[in-house]
Amino acid sequence: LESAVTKILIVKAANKVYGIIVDSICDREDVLVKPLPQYLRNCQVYSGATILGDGKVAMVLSLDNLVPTSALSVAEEQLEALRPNEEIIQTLRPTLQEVLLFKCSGPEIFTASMPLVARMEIIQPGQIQMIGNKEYVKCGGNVLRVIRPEEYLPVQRCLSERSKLYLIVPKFVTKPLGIVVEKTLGTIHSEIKIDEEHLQAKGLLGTTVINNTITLMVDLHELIELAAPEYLMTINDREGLTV
Amino acid sequence: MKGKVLSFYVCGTLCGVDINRVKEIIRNPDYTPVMGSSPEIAGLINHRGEVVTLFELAQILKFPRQEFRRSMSGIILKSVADSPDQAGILIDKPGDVIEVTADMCRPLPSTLGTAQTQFISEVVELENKTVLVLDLGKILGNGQHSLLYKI
Repeated sequence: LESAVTKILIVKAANKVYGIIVDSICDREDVLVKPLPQYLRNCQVYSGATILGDGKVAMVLSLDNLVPTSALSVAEEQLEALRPNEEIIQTLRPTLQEVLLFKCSGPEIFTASMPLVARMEIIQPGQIQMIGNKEYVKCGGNVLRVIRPEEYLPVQRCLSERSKLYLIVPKFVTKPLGIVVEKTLGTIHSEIKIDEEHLQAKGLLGTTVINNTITLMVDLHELIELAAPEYLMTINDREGLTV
Repeated sequence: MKGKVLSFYVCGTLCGVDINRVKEIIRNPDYTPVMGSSPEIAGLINHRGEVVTLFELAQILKFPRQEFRRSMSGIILKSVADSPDQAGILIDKPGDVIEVTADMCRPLPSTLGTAQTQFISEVVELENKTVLVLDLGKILGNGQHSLLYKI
């Protein structure tokens, strides 16, 4: 029966997203996958079979094998080469974006893309402990590695006399990590246009003007890559994150 | 051979298997076809919580394909040591159990094609009909010459 609606099941395999055209979607079930009988060992598109609640046998597709079987890999690798950094696309696109404005110890005003921020924490400067040459803070039962943007970005570093500090906890880290900022100036929804002409440094996407003030757009991902790369998610992990 | 043979019909032809290999007969098996598998495999069925592979016997024996089956049954076979997975064969309908003695066995007629002869161990002559006794070892066994080895 030809239907006017095409149903596509969106699936994720490795770090790519694929669509499978299906006739209908029956149900979602937690199942125990049984190994494929050896008689079917040549059917590599299946990873096993399972017995459903109604007693019927359902075949379990193996996405890892389905993709090479469908000869999709070539096209997909080309696509990979063409695809620039996702965050850059996002920031170059002149659409309304939610950004966080903040200051570190110097006078510069920074911006960071709000969708990449998981949460903010408030800490006291005294809570930060030096272990080796790295700084950590115990915050609400968790130990977080803290990094200071001034150490990695071409900005001023001043002596801080503040009684409280803020931590920006990004989304794409595998272990708890916070970025120390001295003052948050709130978040705004704004049309962000990144100017890459003046400031080019690792950890910075460029400058952007907000309310007639030049602000520095921080590339949170690159900043952490500079400061603590072992805290970053791998590409695979990152794909799971909806930015 | 000597012993009991379970007879059954496949595409109107009377065939049989050694009854010691038969575990159970199921009627109208509700099996799941496996897309992309070889045509000899009909699909998978849940038989008492076990996933059983059902073989399309008509295809294995190269019998002409029937567009429409009035009835369908399956024979679940006992699993053997050399192939741990459970298997079954799809048949039209089961027949009688026949007590076979050595004097009932006839050599294979040369008119049968190799597709058939390689899986038939003998022809048993009854009063008014003949039964093709299948060699399940060659069909489902693990040996070099078995069908399983090729598919």
